[in-house]
Amino acid sequence: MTVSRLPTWAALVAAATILILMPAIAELSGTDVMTRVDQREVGKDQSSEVTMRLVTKGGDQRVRKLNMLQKGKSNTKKVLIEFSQPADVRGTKFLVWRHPDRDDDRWLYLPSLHMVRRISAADKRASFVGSDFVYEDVAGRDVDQDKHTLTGSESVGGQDCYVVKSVPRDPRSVEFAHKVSWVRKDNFVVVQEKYYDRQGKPLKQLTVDDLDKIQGIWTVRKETMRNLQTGHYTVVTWDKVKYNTGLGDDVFTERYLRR
Amino acid sequence: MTERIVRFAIRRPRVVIWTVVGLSIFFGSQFPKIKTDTDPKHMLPATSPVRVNNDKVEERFELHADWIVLGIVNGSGVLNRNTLSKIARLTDDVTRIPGVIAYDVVSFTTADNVLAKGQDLYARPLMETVPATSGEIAALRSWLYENPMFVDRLISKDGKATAIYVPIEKTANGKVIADRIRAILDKDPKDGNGDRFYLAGDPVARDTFGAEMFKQMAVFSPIAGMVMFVALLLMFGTFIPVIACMAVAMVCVIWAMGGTVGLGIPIHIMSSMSPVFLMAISTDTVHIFNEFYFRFKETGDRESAILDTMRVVGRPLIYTDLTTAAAFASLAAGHIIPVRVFGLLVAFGTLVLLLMSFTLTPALLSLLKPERLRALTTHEDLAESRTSRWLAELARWSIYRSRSVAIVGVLLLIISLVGIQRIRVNNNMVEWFKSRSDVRVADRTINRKLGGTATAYLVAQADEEGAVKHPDILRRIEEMQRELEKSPLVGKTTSIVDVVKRINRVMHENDPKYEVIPDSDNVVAQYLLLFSMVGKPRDLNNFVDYPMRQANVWVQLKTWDAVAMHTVMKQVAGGTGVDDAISIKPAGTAYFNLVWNNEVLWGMLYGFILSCVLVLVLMALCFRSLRWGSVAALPLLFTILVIYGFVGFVGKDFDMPISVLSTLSLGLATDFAIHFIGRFRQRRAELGGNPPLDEVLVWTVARPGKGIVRNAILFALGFSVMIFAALTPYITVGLFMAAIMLLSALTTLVYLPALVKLWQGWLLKKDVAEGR
Repeated sequence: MTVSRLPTWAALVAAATILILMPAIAELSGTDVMTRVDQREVGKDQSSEVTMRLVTKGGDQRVRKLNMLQKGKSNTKKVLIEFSQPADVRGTKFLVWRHPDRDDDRWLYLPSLHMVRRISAADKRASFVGSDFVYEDVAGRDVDQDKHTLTGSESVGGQDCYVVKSVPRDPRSVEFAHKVSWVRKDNFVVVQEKYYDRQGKPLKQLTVDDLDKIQGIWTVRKETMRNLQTGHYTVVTWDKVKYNTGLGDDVFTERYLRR
Repeated sequence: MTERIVRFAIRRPRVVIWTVVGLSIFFGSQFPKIKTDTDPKHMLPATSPVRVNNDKVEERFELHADWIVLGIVNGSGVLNRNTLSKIARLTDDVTRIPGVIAYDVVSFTTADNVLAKGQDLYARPLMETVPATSGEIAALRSWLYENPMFVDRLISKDGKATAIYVPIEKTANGKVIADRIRAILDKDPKDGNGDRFYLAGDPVARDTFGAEMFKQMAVFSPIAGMVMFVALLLMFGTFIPVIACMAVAMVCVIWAMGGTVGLGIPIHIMSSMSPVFLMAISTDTVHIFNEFYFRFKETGDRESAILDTMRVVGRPLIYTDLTTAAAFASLAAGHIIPVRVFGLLVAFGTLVLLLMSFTLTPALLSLLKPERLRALTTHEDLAESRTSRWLAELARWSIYRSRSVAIVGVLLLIISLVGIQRIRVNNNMVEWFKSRSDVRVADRTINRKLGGTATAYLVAQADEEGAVKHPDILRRIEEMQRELEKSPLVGKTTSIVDVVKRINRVMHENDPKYEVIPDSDNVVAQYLLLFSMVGKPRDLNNFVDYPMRQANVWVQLKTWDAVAMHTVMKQVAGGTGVDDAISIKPAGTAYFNLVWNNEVLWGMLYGFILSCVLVLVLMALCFRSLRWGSVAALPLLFTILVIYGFVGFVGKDFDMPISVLSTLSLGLATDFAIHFIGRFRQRRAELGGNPPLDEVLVWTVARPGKGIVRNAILFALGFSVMIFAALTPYITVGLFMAAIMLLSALTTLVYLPALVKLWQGWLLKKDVAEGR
């Protein structure tokens, strides 16, 4: 009879590793998870071609195509969007500067009037071009705007995820009462989100349909935001995603909009 | 067959009574399952084109079918700190009510305001925080008045009224939500600021009516029952017949209503009236007692009096009940659901009545003590009864003056036909409430101050995608809006044009000169994209569809009158040429009301005409004579024409309650005529040979006629109490019930003798030949 026994030293090392790592895993709070999400690697800059497909409950569709340039991350991010489709809005541009300490700056350029207007919108939760996404989905939302609690782990699409419940600190500023996010444990990408309204009913649901590694960076290639109350949904796909192309700061300026 | 049943009922009265009681308990036990449905939309089947189209329009433009309007009025203006903070609080609280579609509640705090400050574009709620200074209030005032989309919607021209618009889910009950809002208003601290609140909107009216109608039925049915009870007691002098009449009526109502409820069929406004109908129809029982009293007086034997009574009254009873049942059942041939339910319910109840006439009623009669009967029936003799003497006089009078009576009748008919020409087919649910009721006051106040509580949509449709972005099309829509707004019925119209003009102005530093439609397609397209970046998607989606082929024009009407929408549509039709690039299709609640109103009323009318024909055929079959059949149908026709003529002359709208009520004449007028003619021909047959016509006619008017008079007075009395009801349809029911009763009794007793006299050669030849 041959019994393979684990060497004693190996058992000790394993036990020590578990003892050291366990508190680290256990101590990862909701806020920690969301901070890791906010701080994850996204490159210096990114350029992509985005297609937004807005679909009504009845099946009517509206497709918008836009080129999107981004620089920086988290609350110092700058975003430039240029619409290419439909044809009658081609050349319409939209620029966002995020600031760590104050409201975002947004500019809009209308080509047919050659006009730039700064938009001061109090509502960051306003729909982005009529879609089910809001500005904050495009530009980002500060982590400290919500109180986060880790409520457990669940598997989404075969991937182990943290489940984090986030309650806005200023409930009047948002359209939802709370949201639940599913964050992949291995790469801190949010792969699913569910929003609830004040009556406790599900409001919106985000699902990531295609996640890919491009230039070593985890990149969402396709995601869907579904309004569970109106039946409206929006599908966004990212094509020709490139990182670290060396975009200059001059691209993200009001002057560049008019060009 | 019928005799065997009657014999059994007399022999085993207790078995019959307890069986009926048992079954009634069974049917009665179904009542707790009751479901009600007062949504006018459900008048038409879900597959009807207008419903399908309405659903499509609502889906395409993300519209809500049901809105509650909370009007806030302050005599010294609503733009003050107290009222504004109240609006903020209320909006917040209202969104928490279950059934409210929170994300689309519209008020000062949720409506987006897009404005220009130099080169900057501001997009934020009209009232983010309650203004603290007079400067902030002044700013709010100027924002409100410079945007045409706010004026008459969120602020009245005089500044004294605003509103919170509360969309509710399709399954939600408007009254329940309105009550929750009232509770919030009651809880809110009283600040002595003089704010007044008004709750209006279709769901409030509809569901308040639904709740109210059962209360009214619960109060007035028993009162009507009591009045009838007393009247019956005075007529028959003892409790048994009174109890029998009431019991039969109750059994019909309980079985028919319980059966309907038990089958899971919701009770609509129309079927809620069926107890009244069944009670009216079941007074038929009076004929049995009427005849029984005469018979008992003649023979003095209870058993044989019952059997004889049923022998002579039985056949007319079967005829009348079958005719009535068939007439109501034929209403089910139409496609309007509540009318079908109503028709079948009443038809079933009438069959129950028929069954009771041969079972329960004889069983109850057989419990009467002979000594008591003898004392009661001493005056029940043609020579001794005052009523009978008076009726005999009346009969002689109409026979001797048959020609003048007929001429007066023809004249009355001609006048009625003139009146009928003036009938206005209309329906207005809000007017089903009394003028000083909360619902009416709220509706009136909000309609006076703001754009209007009734909403219709006019969907402008073009052929090609993106057409709505063409300035030409936009101008065409604007033209239509201005044209519509000329009508005093139209309070406000809103469309994509208003949005485009507003953005054009805002993009040009708020210069009012730019409040026009821009000249280029691309500018319009870019404006709309811009708007989708600053405003709420619904503020755009409510007005244009995704392919930009259709534009939705909101039309707010100042009245719920169905005909108002008709006027609007005529205006639109007058303005659009055949070569126009757009076609206009109507939708929305106001349009739906017009359609169902027409469908229900005309459907009811056609059903009614069909029933009349059916009644004629049935009566011809009953009497085995087309001639007698047509004569028997005359009181029905006469009653209905005179009543419609009257409706036309007094200018009362021909609305749903009236159309339902007119079907009652099917049950009553034919009833009287069948009893009259049936008994008249029986009497002739009994006497044999060719008895003197006048004598037989006088006998018929005096004896079975007394039953008719008793029946009519009983009912006219019973239902006149409904004049005191809080809902106008029930008042109409009360008045018209009395009118139909008296008219059909009078027609039967005055016109039938006169006509039989006039047409004796034509009518009686066959009877004589057959030796009847």
